[in-house]
Amino acid sequence: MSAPAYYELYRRSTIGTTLADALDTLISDEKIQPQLAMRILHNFDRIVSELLKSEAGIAKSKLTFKGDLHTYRFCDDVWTFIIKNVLIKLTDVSTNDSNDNEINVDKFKIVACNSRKAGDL
Amino acid sequence: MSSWDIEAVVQSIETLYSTNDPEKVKSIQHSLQDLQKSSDGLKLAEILINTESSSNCQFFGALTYTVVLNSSDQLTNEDVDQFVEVQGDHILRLAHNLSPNLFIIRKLLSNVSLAFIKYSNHFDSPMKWLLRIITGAVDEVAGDSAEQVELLNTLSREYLSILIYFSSIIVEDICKLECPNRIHELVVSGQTFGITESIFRLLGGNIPNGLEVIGLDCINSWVTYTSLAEDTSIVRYPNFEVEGTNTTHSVILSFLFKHFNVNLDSDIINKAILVATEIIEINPRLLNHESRDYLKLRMFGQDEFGSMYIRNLIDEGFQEELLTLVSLFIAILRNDILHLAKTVDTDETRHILSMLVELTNVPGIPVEDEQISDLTLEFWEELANVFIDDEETFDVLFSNRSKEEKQSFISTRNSIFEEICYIYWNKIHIPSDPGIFNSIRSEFLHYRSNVSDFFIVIYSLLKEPFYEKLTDNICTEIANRNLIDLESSLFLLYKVTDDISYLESQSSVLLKYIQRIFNSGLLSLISNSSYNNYHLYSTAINFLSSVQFFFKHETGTGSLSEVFDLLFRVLLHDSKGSLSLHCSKTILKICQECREKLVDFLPNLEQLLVEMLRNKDLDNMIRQRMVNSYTSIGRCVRYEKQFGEIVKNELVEINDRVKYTLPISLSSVEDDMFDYLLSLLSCIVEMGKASQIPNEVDEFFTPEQQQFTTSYWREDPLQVQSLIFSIIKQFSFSSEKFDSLVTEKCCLILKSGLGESIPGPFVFPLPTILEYVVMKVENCIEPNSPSSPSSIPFLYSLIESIVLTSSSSQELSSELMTSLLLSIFDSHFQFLQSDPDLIQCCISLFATILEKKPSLIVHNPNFSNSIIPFALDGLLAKELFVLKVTSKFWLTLLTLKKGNMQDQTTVKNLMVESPVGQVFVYSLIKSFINSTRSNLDCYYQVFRNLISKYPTQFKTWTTTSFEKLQLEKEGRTIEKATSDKFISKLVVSRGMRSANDVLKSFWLESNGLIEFNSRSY
Repeated sequence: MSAPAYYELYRRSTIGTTLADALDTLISDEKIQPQLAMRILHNFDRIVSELLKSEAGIAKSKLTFKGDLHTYRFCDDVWTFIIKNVLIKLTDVSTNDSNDNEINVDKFKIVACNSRKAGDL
Repeated sequence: MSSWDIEAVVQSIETLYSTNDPEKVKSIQHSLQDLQKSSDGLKLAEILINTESSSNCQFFGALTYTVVLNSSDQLTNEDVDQFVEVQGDHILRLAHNLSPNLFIIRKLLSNVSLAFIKYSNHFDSPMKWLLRIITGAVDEVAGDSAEQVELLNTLSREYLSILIYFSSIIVEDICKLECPNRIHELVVSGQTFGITESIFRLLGGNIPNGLEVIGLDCINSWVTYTSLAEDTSIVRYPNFEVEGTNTTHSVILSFLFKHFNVNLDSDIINKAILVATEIIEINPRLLNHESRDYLKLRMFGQDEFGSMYIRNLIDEGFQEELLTLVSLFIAILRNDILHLAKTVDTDETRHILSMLVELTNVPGIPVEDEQISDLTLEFWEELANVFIDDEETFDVLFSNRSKEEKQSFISTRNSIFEEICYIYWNKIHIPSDPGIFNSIRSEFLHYRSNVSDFFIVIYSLLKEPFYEKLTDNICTEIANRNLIDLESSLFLLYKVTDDISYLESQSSVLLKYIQRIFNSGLLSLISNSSYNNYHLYSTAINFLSSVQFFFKHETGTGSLSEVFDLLFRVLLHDSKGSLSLHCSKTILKICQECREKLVDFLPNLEQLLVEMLRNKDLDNMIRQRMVNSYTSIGRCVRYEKQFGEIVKNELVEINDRVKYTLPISLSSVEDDMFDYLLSLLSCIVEMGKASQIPNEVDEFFTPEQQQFTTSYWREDPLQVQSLIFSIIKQFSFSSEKFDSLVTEKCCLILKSGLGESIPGPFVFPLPTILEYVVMKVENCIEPNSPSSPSSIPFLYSLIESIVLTSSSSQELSSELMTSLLLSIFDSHFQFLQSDPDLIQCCISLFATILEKKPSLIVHNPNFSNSIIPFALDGLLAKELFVLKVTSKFWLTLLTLKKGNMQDQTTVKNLMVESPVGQVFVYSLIKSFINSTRSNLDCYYQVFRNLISKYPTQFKTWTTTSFEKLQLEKEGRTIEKATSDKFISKLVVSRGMRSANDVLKSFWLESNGLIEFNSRSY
């Protein structure tokens, strides 16, 4: 079968898990079929991916970070980085005059996929 | 619907497409869908598609065919043939009046495409089929391209367009639906691609009017499709041809390139540019070397299409079209960026880059007037990164060349980037018209931030000379008093400095440049400028915050006085504005980083601080930051008598303010006055934080100082600690309304000295803290008291902090913990069970104790009598925050990493010898089955550790638990065979990662649900 069109990464976000819970309830109550739930989640994947693209102009926050690269791997087209002793700077131009907020964290994991994936376009 | 009346159906369809009433739409849709799915579906479709008087009905007829095809399980080959034949008849009939019927024809074409996707074993050549029925060819359509073109040449424009639409629809449908991979091979072998190619061969000669746009749209559909096909099958489309052919440009590309002609309509050119961009961005392999070079020449060659079209677009002011063209330029160059970087010194590349530089420098305010410079910025950054990341490539490139050649290459490269930097420096000037700036504020600041990132990359490439140039510019701007230019330069320098000062080794090389800026009179120029110049002040304050390393160094210490003058002046001038908040943050940063150098400033700062403590109108955050700044410097006097006095004076002032402001009870205080009072309490929190020893005690104090400090704070001659406690008590038992806010602050004060290795003003004796906690918890639970139950989590969290910081201390004994828990937990068991927040804070404390020092509770008889039952009840919770800590509790109890042998034995006996193990497994399984999908992660580790830690008991416990669940018959029934299979699989997993999948599958099966995700990350 062909590969799914959009990444399912964002299903792990709070909004994604909450949506999955709600769909489970609707399936259990026999209000919808599981196939419809799958379609809804595919739509969710597509919409989140599209809205988070810079061209959409919605996400204006920027996150930059520095730290010690502890692990990196590239497997199945997915990059994973584990960074330790990280200084994270959050810039949100929509709320202030580009003054950064800084957070220090011990460990930071990044999972990154190619935004130019075939079906994503 | 057993019987139906066609007139009523027609009426319903017309209403469906005309009404705005959602209820009506829903009800009509429902009844029509029933009819479509009934055994009369095909008959209905036939009647509707022939209803010539209504396009809506005809479209609904075509749609009904789709429903029929989708709801049929498995059609015979004859059924499929008949189905497509019927669709073909309708297409031919409707094609006589193409334009109004197009949407119906497209639906019918889509039906045929669906038949191909579903029944490709039998119906494998849809394009061939359509060409045959359109041309009326009796014989099979030949596979030879020349013969196909000959046949196509006989067709009208309408029929050609139907063929092109069909080609697009087939590949779009394959992309949309989940198709088996072999379908991609059929697209080639069944001549779908071949006939499409023949159509473009025909169009390449002479494009009939109106076919340009649909032809380009068709290429676009194929671009996306080829990417999918190549990704999931062995089919390849090199040079947009099937493998084996090897021409300069394929017919499809020739058709596309034909549209790069300035004499054509701009909409068509724009479409062709978009398609070319799609090809390069999605599947550049569709272009071979010759095609790429040709495209590059057409876009960047002297007097070629690209340069001529740019001029036209700029002259006409077509912004959108210009952006589309620039996107294509960037896509082409990005694809070949390493080659471009290697040849920056050649005439050809210089010409290309100068075209792009010119476009970057398009006049106008970014965001407001132009978007091109934003588009090109990413490309310039990528190009710069090639030089940085592929340094070795360039070393190899110049290994056989002379030094002079290398130098010339580098200087060409540098001058290109300097030119680009100059353009962007100009672009980020704050627009002089405040109206324009405010309307694009966030987008413009975003743009500025992106430009600063580019400058950071350029610094990595050009290093110190680039920084020097930036500082030189600033010095010149200061000398010329050019405030607008100065703001832009200072902004970029601040961003670059902030980035590189992360590493001390890098910041030390910058000292001389920063000194040059301070020596040239930056501070006096800013001080003398108007406060209306908000951006200049804001940028200057940011800049000062980024150069702490300079103030820390002896070169910069001399500037501190002037810096503080400026910062405090701004802060006091604008005590409620954002600039002052910003200033206070910078002051705090400087005071914390350079505290050693600021001890002489204490007397002046004290006066300011007293003013700020008294000024109710001052922003609370500023007041708190100033207290922290002042105390941080005070901590560095290293003479405890003096430090004690500093802390005492601050506390006395705060206490006076509290006494002066606070009436008998907080309950009668207005909200804004309460904010001020709470801020005074927060000031003590800040004092606590700032009083902590900033590094290792041995590094901070000499042995004599350590001795003196210890004896001084044990004695506490100024009664600092009792004063702190007296303030805490004044607030703590005063008002239920504000109690949780006050308790939070009081607990933070008491936490601030935990973990300190030497006594200090905020290092309170453990019994004193615990006494406060016990008293406060009692008060919180007591009805009609001034304390609120919502304060309890803060008090528990305070004990958790004590466990975390003092677990190795002898003072924290199991006897002490037993007596504490008796007072704050056992006596109020039922009350604490009444609220999820309270359950969470209790279990979190127990989990932390088990994690850090299990012996504090596991031997306590109340552990099995009250703590374990409490944690078992935690498994019944639905709230994720409760489940998370409950899972942590059980996980820690199972692993008992910090437990000694005695602890391990006690817990093992508890689990195995008493019913605890069985009851726990029963509660765990019950809770797991009833859990929501989002909470499942909480259970996996607990199950896995249970299997590995108690392998022999696990099977018995789970089997008995399932039997009990079976008897209870709550929710879905789980068959014995299912549960046995699940138990066996879990046992076989031995607690390894594969247990997660077993658990998930069981949960899905038990709840009648399906797995939504195709993969996990």
